[in-house]
Amino acid sequence: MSHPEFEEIQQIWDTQDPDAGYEVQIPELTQKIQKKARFASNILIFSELVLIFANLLGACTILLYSSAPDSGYIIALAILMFIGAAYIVFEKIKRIYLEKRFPKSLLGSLEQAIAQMQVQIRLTQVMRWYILPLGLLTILAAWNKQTSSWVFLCILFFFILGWRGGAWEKRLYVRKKKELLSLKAQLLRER
Amino acid sequence: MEDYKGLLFKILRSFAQNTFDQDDLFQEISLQLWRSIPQFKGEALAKTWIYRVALNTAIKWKRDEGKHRSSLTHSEGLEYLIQKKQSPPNPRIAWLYEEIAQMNKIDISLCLLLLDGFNYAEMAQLLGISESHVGVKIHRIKQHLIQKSKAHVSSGI
Repeated sequence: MSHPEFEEIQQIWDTQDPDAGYEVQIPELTQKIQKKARFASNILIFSELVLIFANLLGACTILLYSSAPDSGYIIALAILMFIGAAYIVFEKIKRIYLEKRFPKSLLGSLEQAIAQMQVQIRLTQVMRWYILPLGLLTILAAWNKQTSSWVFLCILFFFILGWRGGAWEKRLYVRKKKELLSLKAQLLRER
Repeated sequence: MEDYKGLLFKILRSFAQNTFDQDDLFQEISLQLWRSIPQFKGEALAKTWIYRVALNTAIKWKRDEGKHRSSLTHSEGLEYLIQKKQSPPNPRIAWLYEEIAQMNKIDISLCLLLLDGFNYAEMAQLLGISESHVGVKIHRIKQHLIQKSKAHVSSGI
């Protein structure tokens, strides 16, 4: 369907010379991009590795250096941390797989981003619930050793902090997922 | 970058309205283009590929409120990656960009593709929706711009 009036708008568009408006500082741009790219990919890999390593190291340390290694709480805590590390590895592999699954279009990219947000939300939820048995077993293990009240309070404080931090992180991902879903709805809306 | 900077500047002007936001979005797009180079296997034209990555980035980009520095000027030593050249103002172009900027992000993308000469099939492939769906949206965008142009006498249309 041709619109003669729209042809005038097209002519306005075609008369512009966008190059005349801006200049790009190429050397500075190159430097910034390379720096940002290194930081962005490193921070994600780094945070995943820290979580995996922290769980593995924590489990090994507890088993090797605890003064009561045969305590049921210590063993349960170590097993839980090994499972935690394995779960993070599983989610990492899933995230890498998701990057290759979707078609190369705007819709495909939105769907990929939505799927990745869902993975992040689930990971945050699971990690948050993971804190509960972890905290409980740590407290029970400390109680078993007749640790002082101050140590109990510190342990409680850090686990509450972790719990609240997980809630904040989950809200952030849920908000981002909603924005992406809204964009997808706009794209698919007929009117 | 030099060959296609005109295309990128059109996207910047449509999705971001002040110099700081345009600079921020330009950095994001450049970063995504740089990261996507290994995945570009030449199955599409470079222009199409750049448009896809740039629009992808622009529709997900959000203005960073915490780093808003639009009150600062170049004379205060702030380094921008893109610098505006002094050129005579074109009120008709300015009007058109103002109207485009007021659309939702998906419509902005479609409008840019339409004005830059992409056909319905190319738009459908780039967006991942059907050609008939593209047709319905394009018709609505055209009607909207025509109505706005009739209302805006000083645009000269």
